[in-house]
Amino acid sequence: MRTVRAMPILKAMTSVKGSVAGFYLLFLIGSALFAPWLSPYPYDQQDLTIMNQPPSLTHLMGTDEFGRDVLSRMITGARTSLSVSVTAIGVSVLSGLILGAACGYFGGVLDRTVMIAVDLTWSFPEILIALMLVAIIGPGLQGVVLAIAIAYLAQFTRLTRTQVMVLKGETFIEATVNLGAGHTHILFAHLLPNALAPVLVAAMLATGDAIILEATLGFFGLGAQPPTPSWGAMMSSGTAQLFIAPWVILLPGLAVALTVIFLNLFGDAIITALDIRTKLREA
Amino acid sequence: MSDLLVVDHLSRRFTNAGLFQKRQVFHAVSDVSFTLARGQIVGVVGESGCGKSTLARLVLRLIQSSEGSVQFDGLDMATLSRRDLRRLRQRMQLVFQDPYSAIDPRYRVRDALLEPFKVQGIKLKSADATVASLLEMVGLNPTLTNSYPHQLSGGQKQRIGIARALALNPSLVVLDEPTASLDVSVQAQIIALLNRLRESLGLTYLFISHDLGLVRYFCDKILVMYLGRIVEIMPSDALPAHPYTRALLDSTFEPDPRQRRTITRLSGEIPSGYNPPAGCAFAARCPRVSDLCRSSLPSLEVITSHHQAACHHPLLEDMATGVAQRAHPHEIAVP
Amino acid sequence: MLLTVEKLEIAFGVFSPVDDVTFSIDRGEILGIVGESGSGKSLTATAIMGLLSRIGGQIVAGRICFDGAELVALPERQLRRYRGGRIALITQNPMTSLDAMMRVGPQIDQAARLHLGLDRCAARTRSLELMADLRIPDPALVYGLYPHQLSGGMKQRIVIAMALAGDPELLVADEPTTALDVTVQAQIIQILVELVKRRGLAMILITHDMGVVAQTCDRVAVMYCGRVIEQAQVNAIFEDARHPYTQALIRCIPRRTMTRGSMQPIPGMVPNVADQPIGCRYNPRCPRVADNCLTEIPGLRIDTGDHGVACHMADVA
Repeated sequence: MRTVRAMPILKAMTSVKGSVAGFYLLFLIGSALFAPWLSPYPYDQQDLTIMNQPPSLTHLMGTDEFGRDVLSRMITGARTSLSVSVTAIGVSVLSGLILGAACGYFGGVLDRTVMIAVDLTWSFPEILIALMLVAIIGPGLQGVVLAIAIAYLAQFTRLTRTQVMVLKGETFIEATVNLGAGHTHILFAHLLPNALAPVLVAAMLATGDAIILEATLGFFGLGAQPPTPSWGAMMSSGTAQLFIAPWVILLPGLAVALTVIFLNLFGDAIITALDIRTKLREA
Repeated sequence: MSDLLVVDHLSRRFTNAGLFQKRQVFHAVSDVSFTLARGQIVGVVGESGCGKSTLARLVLRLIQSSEGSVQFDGLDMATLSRRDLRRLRQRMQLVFQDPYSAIDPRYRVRDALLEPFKVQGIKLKSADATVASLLEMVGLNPTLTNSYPHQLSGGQKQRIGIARALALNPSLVVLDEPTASLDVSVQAQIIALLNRLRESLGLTYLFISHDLGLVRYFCDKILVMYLGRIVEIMPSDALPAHPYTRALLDSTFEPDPRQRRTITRLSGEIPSGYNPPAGCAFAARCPRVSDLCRSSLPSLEVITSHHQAACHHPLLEDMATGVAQRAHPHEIAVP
Repeated sequence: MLLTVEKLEIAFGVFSPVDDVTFSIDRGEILGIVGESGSGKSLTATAIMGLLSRIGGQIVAGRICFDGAELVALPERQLRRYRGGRIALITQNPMTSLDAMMRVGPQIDQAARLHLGLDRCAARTRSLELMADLRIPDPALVYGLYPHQLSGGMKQRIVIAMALAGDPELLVADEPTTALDVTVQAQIIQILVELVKRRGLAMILITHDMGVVAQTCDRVAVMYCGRVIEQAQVNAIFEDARHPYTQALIRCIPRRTMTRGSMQPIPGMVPNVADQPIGCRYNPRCPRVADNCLTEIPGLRIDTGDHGVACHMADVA
């Protein structure tokens, strides 16, 4: 018998796709969390005598143009990439849930105003938003977090709003109103918990895109400032040595690609586990 | 016996205005008046779209009326503050047609049954004991307390719906087609349960249904609705005076192969609530129609002391012969 | 006999929601199959239409014999010649059995063109005749309308016209009026009965409504938990029901003569298909249960008057 609250993440891990993706992501999160202990060298330790060395036993992923260990920088870079995209998506999901639920539930003028504002953010390219923010608050990770959060706000607001609007018409909501429940109870005890699952899955898929976006911004020098590594910034500095030391640009690129692919696969596995494809399509 | 519910000239219109559409007004419920005495079961019968479900929600003020008033136990509900109305909801409850969607799929039976108390801010001495006694009241096994709705059968879910409705000890329960999506044998169980609960708890029911046979069995008084209006108010054992009620009665299939009959065929369709006709709404399908019916709207006229019909040409000859059980089913000629 | 179903067993994985179902029907006859949800009545219809594999089920035993031909073993390609042609299905929900993007007229034409080989023009003429036959007002106008422009009753008439277009000999009507209002239901049932009698068709009417059965059927098969538990002429079912379940089911229907509180519900509930009781499947709810009811599934015993009952305790004359 199907149980609603069976941990969807565990259930997703039971499929081949889900388990491969899940273990990769666990490995990645683990490396990010324990970066200082896992890195064989400090990520900013320069040694100009071993510039652009190819992978060897002492430097498993080689060294870059300052003789820094690429593996250590990859591990610390994972930390930057993950924390930036997860924080950004977290902020975005939270604001999207609040805005979307309020719009979907109350409707009217509030709904129209908020939705116009939110849709405006959707019509600007993420890069443009990021550039504007950097212009305002200066370069650094806060700007990137904010830019990614704003870029994805519309998606989560719209998804939550649609969910809430559909759920609002369900009989069990009318039944709760009839018990004498107020707005707070209806929103927090019924609407949000039921709207949450598809939003969280969308968030997981969006995290993949956010990692690319963070890398792109890093590539343009808008994100993490040297010497802090991020995958995007590493690729950016690696372009100069593309033909001398291709591993400096290829390895972070591969990490971005793998992470995005596995995030999407895992999201897919969760969708299957939760059986919410139809709900996502409605939105 | 005083009246628990007094509904007076209640109307509800819905306006449908799109950006590029012509403004349209839908007359869902028009000029409905009736009373519900304490302990009584009043049935509301009609086909889909006749406004019976809207009426249920108007009575409970889940939607607001366009005109008219609803008095519950002497209180005019329109004058109550939001807060007072929420408090009053304890005393009037609704049981839904579709038990499958009436409970939050994420709630266990226990949570669903405790929600009414939580919402009304009532502290319970023992939540477990309350849940157990509610389950027992509706004839369910207490082992179901941790089940999710999808693990229950339709009948069990409807019993949970009833238990939830009765948790706060209401006086009035509106039953919106509570058995329409259930099997016959489960329907019989639910109706028997509702009857037992009414007797033991002194409840008053407003019973909405499309099944005239069931309403005649279960109710004291019947309101027949057609296109948002009450066309007949009658005791459940009386013979209908309105040709529409007659047609409804003749459309029900008596479970007796010895009493086969040609079923009255009503020609025509129910007119649209967007554009109700000027005269009697049933005129286009009525076998007794005259010019008067097409031009002037009949109002409810007293037939006998407890019987009213809104018809220019009521079936009084039926009443005169006056046998409650007709031995020879008669037919209305199809025009 | 036009159609004979013998010892039919349907399986979905390890479960057999239909087991040992036997009945037959001849031209000009209406056979009612009554039962509650989970009784297997709709699956039986699906099996006759040869559509089980589409929903993941299969026939594991028994025969379905139509006019001398065995349908169970027939490959899909040959089954298609029967389906929609000599055997037609009328489904429960007219809203979902019509193509919303297509005018209703051409939808009726399809069966005639497919099974009778008519050209477009002849099919259209035939559809218009059928529509007039089903008392659809102004057939030429309705022919060109889309489903959403029609009322529920009108849509169901179109569905019936579609079923009739292939000139069937057997109609399988699966709860044809459940989704409709009472007055419309009365119209549709009346039309179906007239049709069967006038054209000499056979109709299997699947329903949960004992009232509809009483007013329309010639013979009735009552199903419970995937088995036929009683089978007889309609009068015998209502006046001389021998299975405790049939008796109880008839007592569950409100009648004009009943006073409030006199209706006697059946205790308990229909068991889950995964959790069938051992022995007679009705034994947990039966008032007359005996020892062998708990161990042995009763088979259908048919008496001289063609009245069959599957109960250890019933007297068979």
